[in-house]
Amino acid sequence: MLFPTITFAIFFLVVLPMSWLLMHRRFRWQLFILAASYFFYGYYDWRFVFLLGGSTLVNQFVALRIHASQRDGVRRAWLTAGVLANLGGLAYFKYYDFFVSNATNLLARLGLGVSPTIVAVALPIGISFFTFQALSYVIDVYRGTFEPRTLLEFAVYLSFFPHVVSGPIVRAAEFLPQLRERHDPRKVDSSRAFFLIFMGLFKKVVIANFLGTNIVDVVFANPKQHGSLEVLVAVYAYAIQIYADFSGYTDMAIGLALLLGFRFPQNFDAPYTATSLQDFWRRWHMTLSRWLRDYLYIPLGGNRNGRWRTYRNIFLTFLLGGLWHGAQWTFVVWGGIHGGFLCYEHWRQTRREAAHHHPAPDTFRGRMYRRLITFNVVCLAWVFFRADSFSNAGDVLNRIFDPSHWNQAAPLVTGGVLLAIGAGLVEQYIPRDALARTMSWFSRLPPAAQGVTLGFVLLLTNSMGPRGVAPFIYFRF
Amino acid sequence: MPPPSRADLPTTIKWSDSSQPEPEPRAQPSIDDLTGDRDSPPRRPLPAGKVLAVGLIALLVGALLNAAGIRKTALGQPVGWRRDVSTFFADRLYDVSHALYLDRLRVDLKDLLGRSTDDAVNTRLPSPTTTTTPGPTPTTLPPRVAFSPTHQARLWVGGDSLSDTPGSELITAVGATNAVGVLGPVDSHISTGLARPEVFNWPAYLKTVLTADQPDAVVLTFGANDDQTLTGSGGGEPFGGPDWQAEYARRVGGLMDTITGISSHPKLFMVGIPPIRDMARFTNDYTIINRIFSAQAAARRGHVYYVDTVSALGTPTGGYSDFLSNPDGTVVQVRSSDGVHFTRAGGDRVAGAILSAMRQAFDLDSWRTGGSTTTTTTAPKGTGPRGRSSTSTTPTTRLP
Repeated sequence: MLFPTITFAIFFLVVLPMSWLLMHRRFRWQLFILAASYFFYGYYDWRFVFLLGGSTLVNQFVALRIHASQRDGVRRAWLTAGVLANLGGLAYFKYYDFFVSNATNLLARLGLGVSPTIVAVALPIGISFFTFQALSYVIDVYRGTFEPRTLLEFAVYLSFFPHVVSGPIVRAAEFLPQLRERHDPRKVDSSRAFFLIFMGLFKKVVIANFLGTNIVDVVFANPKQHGSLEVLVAVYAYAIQIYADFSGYTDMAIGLALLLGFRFPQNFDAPYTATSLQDFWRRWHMTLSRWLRDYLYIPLGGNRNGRWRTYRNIFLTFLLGGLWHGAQWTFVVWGGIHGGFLCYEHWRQTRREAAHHHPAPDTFRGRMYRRLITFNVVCLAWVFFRADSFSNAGDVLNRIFDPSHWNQAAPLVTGGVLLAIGAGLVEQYIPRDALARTMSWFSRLPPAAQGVTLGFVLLLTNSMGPRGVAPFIYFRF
Repeated sequence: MPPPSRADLPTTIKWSDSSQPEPEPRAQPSIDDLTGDRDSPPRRPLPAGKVLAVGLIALLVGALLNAAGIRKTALGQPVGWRRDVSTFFADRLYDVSHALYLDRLRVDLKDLLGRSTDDAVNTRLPSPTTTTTPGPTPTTLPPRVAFSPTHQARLWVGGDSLSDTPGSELITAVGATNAVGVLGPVDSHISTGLARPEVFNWPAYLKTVLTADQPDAVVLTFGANDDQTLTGSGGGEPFGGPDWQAEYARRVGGLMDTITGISSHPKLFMVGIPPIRDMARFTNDYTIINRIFSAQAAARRGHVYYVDTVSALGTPTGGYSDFLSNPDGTVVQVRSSDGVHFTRAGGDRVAGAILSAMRQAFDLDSWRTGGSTTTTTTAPKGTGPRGRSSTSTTPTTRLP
């Protein structure tokens, strides 16, 4: 059930009033929202409901065992078991074929022919997201920062339909306390919620789908058929497409949760205005980068063991972060580019500090220059993220940097494509307080006027978008 | 849209600030610090009932303004009671919208975007002009036309979503011949076929596009969405029965004649449906469709070529597999995770099969040697009921 569909609209129109009617009866509400969430998840493939349910039972059991035990060794053993169970499930469903086929091909090249069982495991939608959320729960219980909750509460947390499929990665400590808060049905923050939902809808349906259909998919399918300008614009278009697609989804998820009375963490904060890679990761998929920092980078040692260990930890964190996105070496390279540039920034910063250089003055020109550099490094990495193989990525880069193709015609670089790229970039430079004031103004409109305004946004979205809705890019992660 | 992040918030992520070691993450920031919504101007909250009312008004206004698109979407539902109910309400909605002139905004917007035909519904389908009753077996094929870098074959590729990856790989593959030029990227329209002209009318679309493009070769892939009740003129038959097969054959034949009747007389390469993970569907449904494609192509031998994908993507026993072995023993994933579509390697195999068929129809290689080829080809006996027999020697285009 995709958000931008009539099926979901009907589902939500039933869930919303029922949720608020039951909200004051906590137990009944939890049962209802659990049933609704499992229905939502099972709508994709009912068989994976058992996987979600199994993950819930296993993680709750482990968390309770950790909490009940007083001995460090036992607690650590249960934690290890929980982490292995989660990562084992993720490895099986997401990486089994990848590892088996790579091992087979390696052995074949060494002259050792084997015929392994490749079982073509179907990837359960959202497994990367709910596995990370479950891990955060178990690890926080182990660390003592969070106490286990009831099985029903934990089940609601893991399956809550606005975030179960594609994030944002909401941690147990951020969500579960809200289940025990009193939610006032007379005070719903609807204006921000509608703003996020309809902006997200427009970004996904109009900008992301338009760029995907009109230039990105065509160029990445056959880079060699296109001139340098077309390929370069397609790479920039992909940067906007993936931003509009993923931030559009999480905006809608945050807005939908808000209508149900729940607050989710922000997941994107104008990432293409970043002035460094470090800044980029404070703004892009913020819930993932915080997760990686707290549950991978810091446990690896963070920056506590010297410069080279710090570089190693950053690099390793991003390599694994790349692999989290999918079972392809291209994702690992994507992570490697980010990790490598972060290490470079760190090295440069350390060198400056050692030489007692004053930091460069923060001028507009300097800021724009740093933004330009950062954006292009991010786009370079996106080439590997989007390409389906190294040869495909190589073809894209070769076309861009080969001067002999710069004179080739670029019929795909249309006014519409440039406008969509421009809109995706300009949107990030709109002052945040201007948007906040707009939301405040919208909230003071009479409800009927709000409804009519949103109806016109639906006209624009539906008329300008393509027929049908392509799945969200992050669904496959 | 969220307000600006604040560097002093505990959300700030420092990946590499060596000046201060990161503490163990004990205290987590509160959710209110993470929403990016602190310090925003006050907003007026609404009671849940009014929130629901705003949502309903938005959907109602949106539905009235988009009534023409909703009507087309309703028509595109699978045939059955859901479609009947949807179209009933969508028709009423459109009537109201039209009576109140609310549909004009969408019409104007579509005109402005150059997409004025998006909401049109055209269910007329052409009938074949070729007689497909059994007749004498043709023994010869039309001459193989020679192409070269200076006289390239004009190739058009399109179809449903199964055409995407093989089409792209084909475009890459024909580039190596230097004798084929492509008329643009793969022209794919997802979830389309010949069963539901109200969703997308392929014959009408192709007639317009190909008349403008004047291709020499057309590669068309669809059928995987057609195992359903036919709608449009001559439709109404449930899938699979003799009447369904007769009507579907009429549509396929009509489409083939429409394409080959374009003034450039292109050769049509009709790509068959490969095995899919749901082998019951392949065996029960797609085999029927493939058989119709094959028979209709055979009736137009020398003009229409059926490209069998079972041998390219099936297991040795004709079954389905996500992974296939290369001759060197390495395994390669040929199908995407949905068990239907292709990976690039799988598309490459289908493209290879199409290119082989193109080499049967065209002489793409003799320009390399600068010689001439005899272009008489003898068809296998006993399969085709019809043929345009001719024997000729066509000089190949010489290299510049």
